[in-house]
Amino acid sequence: MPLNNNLKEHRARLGLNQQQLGTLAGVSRQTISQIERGDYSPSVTLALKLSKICGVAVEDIFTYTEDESNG
Amino acid sequence: MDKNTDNIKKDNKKAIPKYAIIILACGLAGFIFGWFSYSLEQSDWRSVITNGLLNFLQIITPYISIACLVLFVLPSFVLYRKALKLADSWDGENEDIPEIIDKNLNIALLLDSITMLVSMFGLSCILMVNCGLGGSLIAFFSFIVVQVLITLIQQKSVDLTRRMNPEKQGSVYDPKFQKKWYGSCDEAEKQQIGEAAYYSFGVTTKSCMILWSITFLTHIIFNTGLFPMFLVLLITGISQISYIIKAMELGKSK
Repeated sequence: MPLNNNLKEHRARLGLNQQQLGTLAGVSRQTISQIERGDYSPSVTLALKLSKICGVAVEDIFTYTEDESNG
Repeated sequence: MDKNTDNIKKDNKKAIPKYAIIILACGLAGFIFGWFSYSLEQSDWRSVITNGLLNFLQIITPYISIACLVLFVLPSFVLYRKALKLADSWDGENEDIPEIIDKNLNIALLLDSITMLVSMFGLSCILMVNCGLGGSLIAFFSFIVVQVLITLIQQKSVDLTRRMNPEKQGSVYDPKFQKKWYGSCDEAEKQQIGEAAYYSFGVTTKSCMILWSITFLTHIIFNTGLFPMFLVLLITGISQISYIIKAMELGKSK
């Protein structure tokens, strides 16, 4: 998956568990877990919500790396 | 546009040989099974198989739901209890515990689904075989008990899932449960449901084609009639048409 993230670190900085962050972002605990594992790429809306909760820019949480096979 | 057309032609050209082989193999298999079915129908083996099956069903029919209770319902209940114990002891921080709980509950619900189908088959068998009044009553009441138990386990499992995920909505007893539950799912869960549903659609379509072939052949051997074939095609039709209509509806601009 070309989208990497460090959401877990930001969540730990805020002292929130997955359930609490999910409640703030309006998604389930499983979704937060899947995002942190890199198993799910959030929509733009959700990514913006998460960055707003963490108080950082979207690019500080999510980074896009070009897939080598598409290059 | 030219490159895209070339890619389309290239993909078709690449896939056609394999497709042709599959069609030929299915045709050959159909011929072999058809010939075999006709031979079986003409031989004494047909009555041997029919009588053998009926005798076997006569023996097991009263106990099918009881077997489901032991093989599926009990393990389902054990899995639910394990999940409940984990949920009660969860501190809200350990991120592995909810995954284990979800897995246990999913397997419990899968066992419940299998139970429902097998016990319904068991009940249907009462119509086919003569297992006496006693046997029929055992089959009927054990079916009722099993249905009640799996409904309770489903309710408890859903309630526990809601306890772990407070945003979830819906009661198992509500006729609109599926709609309410889906409505309370977030984007990732809806995507998961969509992928699982699409996979299921593919499996169902292929299975129905195989089932149609089986009902076709069993009619040759056992004279089962047109109804089984009609039912299989009806299910296929409902699945395909409802999928296409929903896809068209979702594709419209809102």
